[in-house]
Amino acid sequence: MFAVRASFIAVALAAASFGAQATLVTLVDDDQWHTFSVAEDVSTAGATAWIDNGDASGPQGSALSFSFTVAAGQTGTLSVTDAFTQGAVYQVFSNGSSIGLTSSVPVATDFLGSANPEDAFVSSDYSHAVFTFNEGSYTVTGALVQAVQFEGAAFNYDGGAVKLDLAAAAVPEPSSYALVLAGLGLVALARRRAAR
Amino acid sequence: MKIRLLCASLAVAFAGCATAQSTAPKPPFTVKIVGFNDFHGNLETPGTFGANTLVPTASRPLVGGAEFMAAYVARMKAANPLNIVVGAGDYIGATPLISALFYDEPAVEALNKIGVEFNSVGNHEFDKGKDELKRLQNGGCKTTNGIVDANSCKGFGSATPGTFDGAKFKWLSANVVENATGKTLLPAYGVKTFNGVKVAFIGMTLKGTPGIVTPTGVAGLTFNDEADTVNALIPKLRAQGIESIVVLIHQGGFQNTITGVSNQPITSDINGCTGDLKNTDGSDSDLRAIVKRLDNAVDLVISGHTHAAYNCSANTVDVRGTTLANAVTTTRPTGMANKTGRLVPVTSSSAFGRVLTEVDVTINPTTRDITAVSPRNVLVSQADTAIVADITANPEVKNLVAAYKAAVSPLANAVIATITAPMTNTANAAGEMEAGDLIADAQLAATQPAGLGGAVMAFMNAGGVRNPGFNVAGASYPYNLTYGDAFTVQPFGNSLVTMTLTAQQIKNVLEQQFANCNGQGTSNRIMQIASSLKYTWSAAGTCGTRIMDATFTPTDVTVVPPVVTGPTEILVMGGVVQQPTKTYRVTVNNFMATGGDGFGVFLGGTSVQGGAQDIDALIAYLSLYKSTNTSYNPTAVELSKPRITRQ
Repeated sequence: MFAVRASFIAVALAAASFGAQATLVTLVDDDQWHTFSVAEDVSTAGATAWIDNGDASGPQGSALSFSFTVAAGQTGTLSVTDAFTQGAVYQVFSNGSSIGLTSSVPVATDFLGSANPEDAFVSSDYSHAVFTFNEGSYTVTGALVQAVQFEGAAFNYDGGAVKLDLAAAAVPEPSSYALVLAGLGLVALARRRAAR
Repeated sequence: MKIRLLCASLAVAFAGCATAQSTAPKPPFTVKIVGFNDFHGNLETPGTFGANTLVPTASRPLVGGAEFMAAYVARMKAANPLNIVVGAGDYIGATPLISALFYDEPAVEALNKIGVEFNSVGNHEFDKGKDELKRLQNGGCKTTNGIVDANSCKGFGSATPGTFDGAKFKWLSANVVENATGKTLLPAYGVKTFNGVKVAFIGMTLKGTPGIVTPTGVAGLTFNDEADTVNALIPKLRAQGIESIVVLIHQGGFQNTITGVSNQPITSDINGCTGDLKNTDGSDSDLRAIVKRLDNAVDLVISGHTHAAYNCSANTVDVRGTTLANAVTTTRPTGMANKTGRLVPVTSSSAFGRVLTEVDVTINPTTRDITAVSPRNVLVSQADTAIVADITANPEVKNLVAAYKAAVSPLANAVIATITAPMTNTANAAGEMEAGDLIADAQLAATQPAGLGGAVMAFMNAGGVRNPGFNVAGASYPYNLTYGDAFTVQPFGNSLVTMTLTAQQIKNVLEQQFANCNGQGTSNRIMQIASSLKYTWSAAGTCGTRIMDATFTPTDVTVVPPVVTGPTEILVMGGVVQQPTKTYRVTVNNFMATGGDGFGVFLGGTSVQGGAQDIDALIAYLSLYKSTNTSYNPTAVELSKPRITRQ
């Protein structure tokens, strides 16, 4: 097991220079979940975008992005989870490019659940994902791609959270190599089957 | 999908990089919410006020004043770093001259310094229309044809002289929708986070706002049902993890003694809830009826509009007695039942900065919900020596008020006429006010010349004759009336409108004065009339049959004393209009001309011509008495009183 690099630098907030209504949260490895909102009525960034609605200290409804830096010799792990009401799935972007979706969950037609991020992340009722990052600087954004269906329409109100872990990119032990290779093998197998 | 699978594999490999957080319960914490409503730009004290009605007049301290409000708020905030200051509307509009002359920029600057963060709109936020409200929100000078108004952007409380910052707090309007966009005019709610827990503040005004403001001020806007609006927002807020929800609503009730109920307190205390905000007949007040339909997720309602103080909560007190000496105070936990029957705390803090509501709410960080609400209404007494010392130590707001006071003084202190006796805005049994008679005559005089409208009659809505009338506290008579005195009675900046009405329409609009008649509200609204008209109404009549007799006597009111210029005409005799199609030129203000106060008949007026501002008309009319060295005598025979007679 590698050692977690403790970092107690306060989360820095800054109004990003891109666009008049944007909020940038600088993540550090603080073992804290940092929430985002989706709220069509106050959003100035689109109906489904992650926004700041009391989540940070930016303008209400402003586009919300999370930035962090993974230093040389580190691996960054970004956990992303839906929280509060169930049924939302998010698409996550890094530096403007999609890096995937959070896990599949059934489409909800009612307002179920009220779990906090730490509980939602470990619950199969909530969509979540883990993304890893090598050395570099990243700005992560997101958008709701599966909303609760309320009265026949997408209910573009939701919330979730992200959490950053930074760890020394220790050389994996042989058994870990085997696991990684097994995982990569599964990927390759899946691709080959998909190609058929 | 590839990235996702890869990530999943790596997650397996590096087990531990996505472990669950500790779920150990976090301790509850307390947030302090400071609320107040109906400030109405009262930068200076509105006078004395007692914590309850048993306090003798002579013992009631001076209250309010922006610097005292700021000092009290600062003291409250110092007690808990987790705090917020919020409002329930009417922070601007119907303001004293010190704010109104400068387009309410002084009120906004003072509220900025007091530290307000969210405020619901009230009806008076729409007095000058939505565009002016947005200017006060966003900042910038008031301009006319591209030229900055001389009384705008004094900037005494803004970043630099010659600028106006706008409100640093957010006006909220959850139930006010712009028809053109389908979106709320201003944000529906604001969110503030305490220890990681979001608290939402939903702001709204009464849905009846269009009926009590100048229609042009709310053109293009729809005012939706209050409870429906809140309830529709609840799932939207919960989906974002918000469980702590406070409603800021510009609608209210009164502490009433309910007919037929025994052992009620007869004393209204600022922390009382006498009658549980029911009407005197036991029916629900407007506010109580709204709360009764609210979703159970709402934790606290901070209200306003009625200018009453009440604290309907676990901290309610009943004060019984006839004097302070024999008064007995008992606690009686109250609240307003919501749609599940749960009692929700409901507060209001009088008006004009007399009182602040200090609410300590307890929040469970795990459920993110408010678990306890403890409100307390606090008198903003100027007699608190520690507060006085605080102001001395930090005179920023005091200096702001002083700067605007100095700027307004030359105009405010200018003598405009001498009056021989006070004229109140208290209506007699027929509905006539002495102050209203003067204002109606002034509005007729301003529009009587042919080129200015050619009016022969004038009607003034009673609600527009503001306290205290021409009845200045402490004045001796004859009294030199000042511009400031006059402005206090006519603060709205309405303009005059002259229109042609038929005799039938005149009779119809007089009938429309009575409760529930042809679109009128639930109480009588007897208009004030100029001296050329007299009529008699019957209290026993029904809608459309109350006006018994009415006469019109052509009178020139532009001279001192007024001169009758023609024979008296009978408009109505025995309830019958004599010449229904005969037309007359009639002056009203723009509020009434567009159907305000339920007077829809005026919407049918023809050949409509705009006129002067009401305050200017009043000043010009009174100046006749100044220039002739004749004091205005409200009992003079030529003023043709009484004008309204009740049978």
